[in-house]
Amino acid sequence: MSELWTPAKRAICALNRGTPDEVPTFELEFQLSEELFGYPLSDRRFEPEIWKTLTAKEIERAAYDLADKYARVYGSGNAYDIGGAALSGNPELDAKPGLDYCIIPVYAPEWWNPTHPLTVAFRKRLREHFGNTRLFGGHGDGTFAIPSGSDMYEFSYRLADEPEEVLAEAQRMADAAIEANKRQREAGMDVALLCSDYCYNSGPFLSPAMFDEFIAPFLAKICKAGREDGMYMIKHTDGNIMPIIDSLVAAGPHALHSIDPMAGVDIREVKRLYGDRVALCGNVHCAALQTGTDEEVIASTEYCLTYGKEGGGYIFATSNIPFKGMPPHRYEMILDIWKKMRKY
Amino acid sequence: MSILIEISENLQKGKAKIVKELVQKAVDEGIPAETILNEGLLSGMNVIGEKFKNNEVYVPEVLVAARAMNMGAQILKPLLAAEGVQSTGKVCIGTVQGDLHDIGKNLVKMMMEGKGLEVIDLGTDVAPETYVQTAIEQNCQVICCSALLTTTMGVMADVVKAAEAAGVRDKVKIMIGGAPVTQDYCDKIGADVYTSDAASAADAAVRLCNN
Repeated sequence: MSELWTPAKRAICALNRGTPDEVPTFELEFQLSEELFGYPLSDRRFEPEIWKTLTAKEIERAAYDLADKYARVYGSGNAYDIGGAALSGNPELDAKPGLDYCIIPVYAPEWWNPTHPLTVAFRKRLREHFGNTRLFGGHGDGTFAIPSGSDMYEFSYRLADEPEEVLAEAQRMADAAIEANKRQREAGMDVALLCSDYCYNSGPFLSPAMFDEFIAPFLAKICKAGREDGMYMIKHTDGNIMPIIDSLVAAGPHALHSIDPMAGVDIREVKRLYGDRVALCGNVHCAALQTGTDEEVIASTEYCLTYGKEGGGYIFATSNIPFKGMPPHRYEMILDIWKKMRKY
Repeated sequence: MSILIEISENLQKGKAKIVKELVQKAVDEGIPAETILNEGLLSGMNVIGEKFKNNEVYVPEVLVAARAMNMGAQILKPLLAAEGVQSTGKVCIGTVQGDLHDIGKNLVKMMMEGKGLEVIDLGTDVAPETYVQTAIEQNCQVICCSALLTTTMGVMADVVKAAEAAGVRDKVKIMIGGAPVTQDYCDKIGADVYTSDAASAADAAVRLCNN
């Protein structure tokens, strides 16, 4: 009997470098919900000063309402399929199918807290909608990202002046991430999205030697702990990862995300060199989506779905996220191509 | 080993305290401040800049070297002024309006200072008029615009237009850079120079100031 594939099964298969029936898709975050579905994936009741004043019943209502929107946006059906609970008021938008993500990026408040009433209600409602057909993912990194602003100077000086203290801090951060990921796992999370950025378009912030000293061992600990708890670990970083990719792969994530074409990273080459050790996600050119021509967008998408897909171990995604300001029709365009090319 | 070479080599290693001591020693030995600056500090930063371009050193090493240079330069500043030494040129730099990312901008600033340029840092979220007004008031030869976001890079075109509207387009060069920016985009909006990395931006700014 042939296997009954679900988006979650496809994701698990791809994350284990296998070949499902078709390429699944997801994004680390989706910021075009208002433009494509008529409302943002947020709710004022979740602002801390408001939801802390809510009764248990009101918290449950708020959690259910948000979960209904998640189901509408990230599921495969349209708003009417959610039983009218997630209508936007715009019939044209309401009739559109959802994004059909295999991993749902969850950023609801208190999601990390497995016993909080908000989390309990939100999780319950999401499971009512999705059962086990999707994976749920949340931020789980605890390694040094490229610091911004004046922090970059201070961090660089500390690396030179007090490396032992920086290492001790790296350990503390990793321990905290491991603990937070354990709690997320208890709260029903399946995937840790490790989103500390390490690289510019020109290459890594730290030298490969420094990366191996101050980041890679701690990334490896976070990945190992997550794997032992049954989580899937997806390591995201923008930029040109090629000078540190051996260390990234050796740290043991299930997948690398971004495979940033704007930094010249070629998914075909990464697949050739590392496809037997790590799954890949992403690579659709975000700058082309924003400012390029339709032909450039189509070419980038087809390239990913040709060379990323080959041999399995690929989850279709943009090289960043569908961010605010990206023309929504462009994102729909790449999803249409994905639908045409996703079958193995 | 010449004390100037020692300054250069210690600067490359980021040894700020030693660089400061050596610069003071060089001054005490009667070496002109301009010579110490050019053949000690800037020579060391040039090596770092080249290595950075070739991915032989990375951002933290550059920042630590720049810290060492600044420590040495502090001693030289009053002496350079007394000798009437001019900076290589003057640049104002900022991340464009609507964009709060400053990593790339700070890197470019640091590399430019390493080339002996005087850099006025306008910070992030900088309005087109602010660039132009600053260039006029401070006699900057170059305006340098950074953007990380595809959604904000359009402001760079507004900077070009603002310079034209203020009637200074022929007096000030406009450089642009940032992750989504390309040479095509530079050509399209009529900016003068696009560079893809911080070290090249510093080289280009020096060239523009010398022309």
